[in-house]
Parts: sequence; C-alpha cells; structure tokens
Amino acid sequence: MKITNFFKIFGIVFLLAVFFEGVTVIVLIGNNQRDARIINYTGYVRGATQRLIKLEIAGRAAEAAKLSTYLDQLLDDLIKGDSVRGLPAATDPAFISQIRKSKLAWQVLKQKISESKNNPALQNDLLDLSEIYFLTTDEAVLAAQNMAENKVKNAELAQLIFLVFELVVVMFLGIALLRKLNHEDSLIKDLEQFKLATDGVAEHVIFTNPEGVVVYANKAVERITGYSVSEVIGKKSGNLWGKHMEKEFYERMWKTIKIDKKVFSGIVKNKRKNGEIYDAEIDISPIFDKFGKPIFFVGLERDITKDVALDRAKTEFVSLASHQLRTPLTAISWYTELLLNGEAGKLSKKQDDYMREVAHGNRRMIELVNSLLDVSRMELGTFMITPELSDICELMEETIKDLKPIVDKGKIVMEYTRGKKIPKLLLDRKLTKFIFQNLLSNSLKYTQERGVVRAEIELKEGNVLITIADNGLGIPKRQQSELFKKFFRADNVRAKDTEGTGLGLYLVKTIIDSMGAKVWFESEENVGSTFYVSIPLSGEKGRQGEKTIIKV
Amino acid sequence: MEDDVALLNVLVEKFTKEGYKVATAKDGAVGLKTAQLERPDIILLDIIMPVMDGMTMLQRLRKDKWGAKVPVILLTNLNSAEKVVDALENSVFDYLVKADWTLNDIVKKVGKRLGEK
Repeated sequence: MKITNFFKIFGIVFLLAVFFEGVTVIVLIGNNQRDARIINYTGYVRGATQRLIKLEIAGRAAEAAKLSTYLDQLLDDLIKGDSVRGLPAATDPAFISQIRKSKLAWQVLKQKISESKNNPALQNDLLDLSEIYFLTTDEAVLAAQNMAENKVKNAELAQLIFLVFELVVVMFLGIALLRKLNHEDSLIKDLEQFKLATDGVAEHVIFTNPEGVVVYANKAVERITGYSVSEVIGKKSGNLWGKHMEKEFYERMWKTIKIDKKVFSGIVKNKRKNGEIYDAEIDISPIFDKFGKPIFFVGLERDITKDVALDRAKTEFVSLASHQLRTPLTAISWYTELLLNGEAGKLSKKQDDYMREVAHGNRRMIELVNSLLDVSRMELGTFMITPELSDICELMEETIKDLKPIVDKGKIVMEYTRGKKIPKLLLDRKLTKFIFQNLLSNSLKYTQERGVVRAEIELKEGNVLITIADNGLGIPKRQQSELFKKFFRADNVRAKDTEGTGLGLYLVKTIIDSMGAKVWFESEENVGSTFYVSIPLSGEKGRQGEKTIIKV
Repeated sequence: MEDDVALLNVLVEKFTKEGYKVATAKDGAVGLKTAQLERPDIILLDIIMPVMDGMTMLQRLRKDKWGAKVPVILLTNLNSAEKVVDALENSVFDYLVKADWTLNDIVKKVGKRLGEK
C-alpha cells in the first residue's frame, strides 16, 4: 500500500468518526422530547452515507448528488428544526456545536467520497473501512439509544463511552490495515513468483513507464543485450540497445502504441553491450488505465539472429539446389536436342522415339524443379510483386496464343469473350500471365477432345472478374476443399494423367492471396469446372522481395 | 563462358555448326582475358564459375572501354533477385535460365541480337 493512500484512508475514516460522533452525540445531549426521532435520523445518516459511497462507486452520480443534498438538508434541519419531520429548532449550544462539527466533517467527507470517483483502489478501501467503522458504531448507537432511554443525561460519560467505542473502531481499523499489509505481502509474493516465471522465459521482457524508462527487466535481457538488469532499470532502452533503425521506424512504433493504442510488432536491429548488432523480433503492448492513459509498456523481444542466418542458409540452399539440379538436366536437354535434330547423324524411328521419351521425361523433371523452386521462394516470402499499368485482356490474349498448340492438339473449342470498357489495371504482368496460364492449361488438360474451354473478362461489382470454364473432368465434391493445397491432385485427375505435380493451383492461390485478389471455383465431377479470379480496380498489391523469374 | 564441360561442349558444337567462331573459357578470370583479347561480338556468360564468378567478371568487363559496350547474355541456372538486379545494372542484354531454353532458341536469340546491331 502506498503511504499516501494509507493517509487518505485513515483521514477518511477519521472524518467518518467525527461526523458520526457529532450525529450520535446529538442523541445524548438533545432534549428528551427529540431523542427518539433524532436517534432514528442517526441511523438514517449512517445508512445514507454508506449508500452514497456505493452510488459513487457505481457511477450513479445523479442519485448520489440527490442523496448528498438530502443529508445536507437533514443536518440543517437538526439545528433549525423542521416541521415536516416534527423537529423543533435546537436551543442547546453544546448540541448546536456538535452538529456544526459534524456538518463540517460531512462537507470534507463528501468531498473525499467524490474524489474517490477517479480512484477505484481508494473507493474499495473506503467502502471496506467504512463498513468496519459502521459495524462498530452500530454498537455505539445502540448504547446511546439505551442511555437516552434510561435518561442518561451525563454527556461527559456518554462521550467517554463513545471514546471507548472509538478505540474499538481504531483497533478494527488496525486489523484492517494489517489485513491490507498482509495483502501487500501476498502481492510481493506474487511479484516474486512473477519474476521467477519471467526470468525463466527465453524472451527478453521489459516494462517501461510511458516515457520509455525501464521499470522492470527479466534475466533474458541480460543474456540478449549483455546489459545487467541493474544497468537497465531506470534507463531508456533506446539509449542502451536501440536507435539502430531509421528514425521513421521508431516514430511509427510510438504512434502505434501511444496514439493508435495497439500492439506494435516488428523486426529490428539492436546492439548488444559488446557492440554486436543482432536481429530481434519485438512486440510492444501498451497497458492503459480505465481512462485510456498508458500506465506502462510491456516489451517482448526475441533474438532471431540465428533464424535470420538460417533463412539465409535456406535461400542459399535453394539457389544452390536450383543450380546443381538444373545443370545436369540442361546437359540432358541440350544433348537430346542435338540428337533429335539429327546433328549426330540421322536416328532410326525407334531411336527417335526413345530420345523423345528421354526429352519428355527430362522436361518434366525440369518443370518439377522449377515448380519446387517457385514454391520455396513463395514460402520464403522472397518473391516480389511489381504491378504496372497493363491491359488485362492483352495478357489473357497472349496466354491463349501461347497455348494454341495444346488447343489444336486436343481439338478443343477455345472461346474467349473480352468485356467492354475494361480499364487498364495495375498488374504484375508475369505473375498475372502465370495465373492465366495455369488455370487455362488445367482446363485444357482435363477437358476431353472436342470439349469447350471458355475464358471471359468482365467488370463486375467494382472488380474485374476473370472466368475460366471448361466442360471437362470436374473436381469430386469431397475433394474440393483440398484443391489449393500443396501437392494435392484429385483422384479422377490422377487416374487420367500421372504427370502433374499438384503445385500449380497452390502457387496460383498463394500469388493471388499475396496480391490482394481472390480466386474460387465451382465444379461438378464429369460436368466441368469454372474458376473465377477477381481483381479489384485498384489493381494488384505490390510486394517487396526477391525478383521471381517465374517462367511464363 | 561456362564451367560445366558438358554444357560448354554442346554450346560450342551448336554455335560452330551454325557458323559462329567461338572462343571459350571455364572461369571468369580466363574469360575476361580471352574476351579482351578476342573482342567477340557477343558474350554468353555463366554466373557460377570458379576463380572469378560471372558477375564479378561482368563488372570488370564493363570498366573497360570496349567491354562497356559488348552485348552480354547471362546464361545460368540460378534465378535469384540480386543477380537480376546486378545484371540489369550492368546492362545485360538478356538473362536466360539454361534449363528452360533449347539450343535452337538460344542460337535464335543470339542471331537476333547480332542482327539488330
């Protein structure tokens, strides 16, 4: 318990005491004829005061104000007399002086009650302690009533009796305070347990005040930053390990936590005490009081230097693998090409057939490696989307032209409807063509000879809607939810064509999701499938990253 | 310039057959010297090579008065961003992923570039 709170509470209880002492003593020194009524009012005042505190806590200000005015009035009436209540005006100077004293106490008490409005901790203490106080004054009032009934007129004796009860009250208060202190003890115990727990956490945990000065740091802070906890407490973290990012980064961070009142997450470069720069993933959460003022910030930080290195190693592995796998495949591809061109002498029919099989197998292998590389780039998040103002219909037409050999081979009817007034959009040309090519070649691949594949581009509800439909194999109902998953291939398609990788639609979906567009489909087995891609008129969202050279 | 002998041989054979005069090198250092000596009309350049890699070789080449202008086609099996950015900064004519290109198409590409000149 803060010492100032202790005095506040003690002060309030003291005021309660004076107030009630005043009101109760009235009973003892008042005129006989008034005793009975006044005793009733003492009970009233007590109940009303407690109710007032409760109303303030509940935030029922209007009712509290009304009750407060009533109590003001009651104290006035006790002196001036009140015909409605049947009270004559007071004449006894001791009585009047007691009432005045309690009126003064009431004014201050009222003020305190209303101040507690903004201090929930104080409110609870106030209610707790006043309850204890009132319990003991109950007995005082009872004694006073007895005395009044027995015509005890000795006010001094009454005062003495009252003093004894006051002492009891103070004792109760002492017990209450002890209880508070015990509570304080358990808080300290909680804090110790909290420290033990956070010290065991691998993440660096700090609490700062709203100015960014560290008030708590766990053990991991020492391990990660190299600064000891005692070096850190009372300083701004920015002056220790921070300030190695652009100024804008920190501005954005403060804005997020202080103004937007949101958790800030990011990846930063920090500096250890020994001067080493490290990568860290940070989360800073602002904690507010109930009026929305930040009380402190909780900062979590994870040293991801190793993860960053691992990521780099993964990327290097992918590029190495791409090189190592593709070089021998290239050799097979080029030598086969020479043989098939007859550049090493004319091949027999059988030799030619076999070489074509080699070339075909090799081609599949190259495509698989390419797809795997695309997937790993997607998953590493190292692909870049660079939208530029483009004509989407033109991209579709180019793709259809590229696929003409397949269309002709399958004797498929390729229909294309170009919508009217399709504006130019911000599109990543390569990726958009990649999407069209994947969807169209799927349709062509899984459509029977003389089937129909239809492509359409139109404006719909503020988006550009691309429809690619076929009357081919379709996707079995039970497998439709799996369609965009990596390596997934539907059973009916597996049976017909053993060559697919199950990566095409996965890539399509990943790309479309990253560019802020949408893709979905409708399909029925043996009836056909229709795929929809919807791109907002604002175009595809750009994305920084490694340049992808997706083959289109 | 190509460090993989199998690929180097098949490229030499194809281009020779198409009537080109071909000079070869298996690493960037030798390649740079050969290029400056022979002054070819076009350079097909691999990236990953021993001694000196293709990108370093290219940077050195571009510092040279003659080397600053000679068209270069990067022929590689890598595809990573920095390489492309570097390549563009060094004004590379094209960037081909070997595994995706047939010999015929490479020959056409070279023919087209030289024809434009």
